[in-house]
Amino acid sequence: MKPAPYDVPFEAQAYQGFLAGLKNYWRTELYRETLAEAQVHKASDVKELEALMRHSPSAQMYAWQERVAQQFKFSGRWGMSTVILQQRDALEPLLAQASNVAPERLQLDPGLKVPNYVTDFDCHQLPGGLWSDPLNAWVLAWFRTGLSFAGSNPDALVDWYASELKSLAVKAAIEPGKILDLGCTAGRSTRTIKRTFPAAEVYGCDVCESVLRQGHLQSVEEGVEITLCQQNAESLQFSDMSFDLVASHWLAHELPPDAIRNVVREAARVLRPGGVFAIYDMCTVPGGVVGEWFHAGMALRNNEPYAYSLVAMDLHGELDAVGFTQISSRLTSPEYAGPQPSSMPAARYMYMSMVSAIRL
Amino acid sequence: MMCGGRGAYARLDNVGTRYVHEKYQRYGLEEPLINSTGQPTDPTPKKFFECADTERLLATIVALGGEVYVLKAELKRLQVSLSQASVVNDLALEKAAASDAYRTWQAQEEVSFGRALLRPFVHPNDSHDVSDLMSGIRPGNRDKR
Repeated sequence: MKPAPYDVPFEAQAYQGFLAGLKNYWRTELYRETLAEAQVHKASDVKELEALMRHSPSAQMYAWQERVAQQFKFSGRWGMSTVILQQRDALEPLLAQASNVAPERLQLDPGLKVPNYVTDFDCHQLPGGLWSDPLNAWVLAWFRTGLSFAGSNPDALVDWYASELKSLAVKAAIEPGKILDLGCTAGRSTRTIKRTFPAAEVYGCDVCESVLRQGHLQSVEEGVEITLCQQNAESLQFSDMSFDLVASHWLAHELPPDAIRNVVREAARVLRPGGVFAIYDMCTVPGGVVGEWFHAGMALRNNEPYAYSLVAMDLHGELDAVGFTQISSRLTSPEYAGPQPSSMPAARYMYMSMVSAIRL
Repeated sequence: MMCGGRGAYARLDNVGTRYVHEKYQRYGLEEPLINSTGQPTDPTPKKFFECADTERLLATIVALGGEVYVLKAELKRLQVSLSQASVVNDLALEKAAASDAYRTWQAQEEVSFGRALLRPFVHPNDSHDVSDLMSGIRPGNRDKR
């Protein structure tokens, strides 16, 4: 594989290593101290626990670092945004030229309105989000070479996800000929799906143009034949009953509940009878009040407010309402797979759920 | 083609933000989880510590820590390189310190190093505050915030 087109100076690499060290302390030792304190309180709800923990030095430090260490990752003189934006002259033309290569596999819609829930705030605290400055597509590309927010290896997560999709297809006795990956950003999950289902025609859709352009360049470079489309998953441009498998990877927690309902309805529309719909996300938060408290804090501090509303949503009911059957959900990730645990993990990470259903 | 059946779901449209608010109320969260100093539409940064100065000083310390870490990495890399090449002696170091290359670097560093250290005291939190969204009020226009 060719090296990345952006330059990462030695100093920036070292600085990101420094931040990774901070984050590791945050997600292990500091998390455990905060967790132990929170559990002692036996609070009956999140509000009570927040009030009890508000003056705890460990909780204060945990919350501060959760928010600010992420900002340091992007900002400051060795931050990812700072370093990438200094390379605008070299990087912006690459994105502009992306549609010159295999143009049939990059379908852009310049008139698409990016939803408010994408533009209202800087998701994940990335300055400008993924919808404003096109160079943020390269910031994301760099960001995803490292560990995830919770310290997980993103490649291991996406590989695991694709293997789970394969299991769902086998269980449903289908060999998907056409697959749609909703909210694909730069198409990493889409490419992994294609590798897992090499005979299938695989599409990815997202609302942000620049990440699709970057993802297209990467797909061409990796020789993975997928089609990336600029579409809103709430109102897809695909025909009725045109897919065998529709999947979303880390999308639902970015959407308000009304948008999730629209996405579920659209998945039902574009799936063929017997087709599989899969939602892989933080749909369940184990650990009772303490788990909810950590999750709600993360949603607020990392600018992912809908991660909080997602766990309160009745996804099974929403799926049932539009005609899905055999609805199931279970926790599954490389770190943890099995029934909902009764205790919190020893280090901070997000429990991932696979919610799946069959189109009647 | 566009999706069909929208009418059946019209009653569910545009309730997302209210839904978040209702769930907050369900959990008894009448105020943002974090001890915010501002009203919902106030972009005042979140406060994590009782004393705002703690937040600012901590940001400065972490920024300093980052600079020190980078410096240590550069020094280590240089030590390894010089040791492998056996090229350094006292005279060579004195000559380097007097060179234009070193002086140019020093002039630039005097400007950028101090700024990198002190800016977080005034701007400890550059990210948009989403407390308002979490408590049910969606900002109409990010430019107004």
